[in-house]
Amino acid sequence: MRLSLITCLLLGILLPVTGSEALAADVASPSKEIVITLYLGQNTEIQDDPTIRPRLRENLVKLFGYSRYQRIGIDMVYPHSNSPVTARPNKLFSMTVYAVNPASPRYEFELKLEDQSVLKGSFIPKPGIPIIIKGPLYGEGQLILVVDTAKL
Amino acid sequence: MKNSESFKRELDLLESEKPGTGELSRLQQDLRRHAAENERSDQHQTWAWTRLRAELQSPITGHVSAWNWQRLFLPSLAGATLILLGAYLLSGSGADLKISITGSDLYANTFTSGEAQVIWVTGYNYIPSSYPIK
Repeated sequence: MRLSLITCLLLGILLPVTGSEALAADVASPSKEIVITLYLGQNTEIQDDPTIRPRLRENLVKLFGYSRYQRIGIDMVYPHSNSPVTARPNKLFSMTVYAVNPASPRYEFELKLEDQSVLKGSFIPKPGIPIIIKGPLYGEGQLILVVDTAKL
Repeated sequence: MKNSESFKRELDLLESEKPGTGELSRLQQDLRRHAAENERSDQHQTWAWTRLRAELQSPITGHVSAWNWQRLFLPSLAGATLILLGAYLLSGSGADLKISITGSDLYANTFTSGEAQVIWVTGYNYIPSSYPIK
């Protein structure tokens, strides 16, 4: 009884180490397209983008309260190895994405605003689950970055 | 106790109540042999006797007795729980989005809103509309 408990404890510690790598390898990297879109949210004087997905628009209205969202710029990258790739949706923002471990689905990223680092972190891109990043206030509105993922 | 007539009678009585299978059958045979050969200590025989009583008194489901159930199932459950816990911790605690560093004077928080993940950053400098952003 005691022996089997010790065996199970050891398995419980060791298997996740090997298992998670196997899991990561299974999940890892079908090529993905990361699309970064910069929006300006404002109540007046801008052209509303009619192509915004309804659920995303609903979320933007709920989060920021503006009635109109104009697309300022868009760029996309295809991170497929550990060499960084940088998307520049406009001249203000840049976002560098790279995979630290090519076998892992997790990507590191750095967001810069005029070459000043704003954020560093990591994310697991998932199609249909955008990342909304609050940007600075601009004029009478608000700059917003939306990071989308598409499977290739 | 060993070799006593009362022990043999009680063993016969218990055996007649339930048919022995697997572990129970082995215990019954052991007890009979120990009683006949007088080769084990009182302590061992008492232990075997206690086991036999427990086997006979526990409800039997199919061929897996309660004793076997506890012996096999509980360690397996403990192991599986540890495996799941380990996998959960090593896979980054389930967080798909992590912020490690923010720029100077900036603060960031993450949360989910609807189907989206949100990074709420505060502390930016205001950008006047005279500044071209396209």
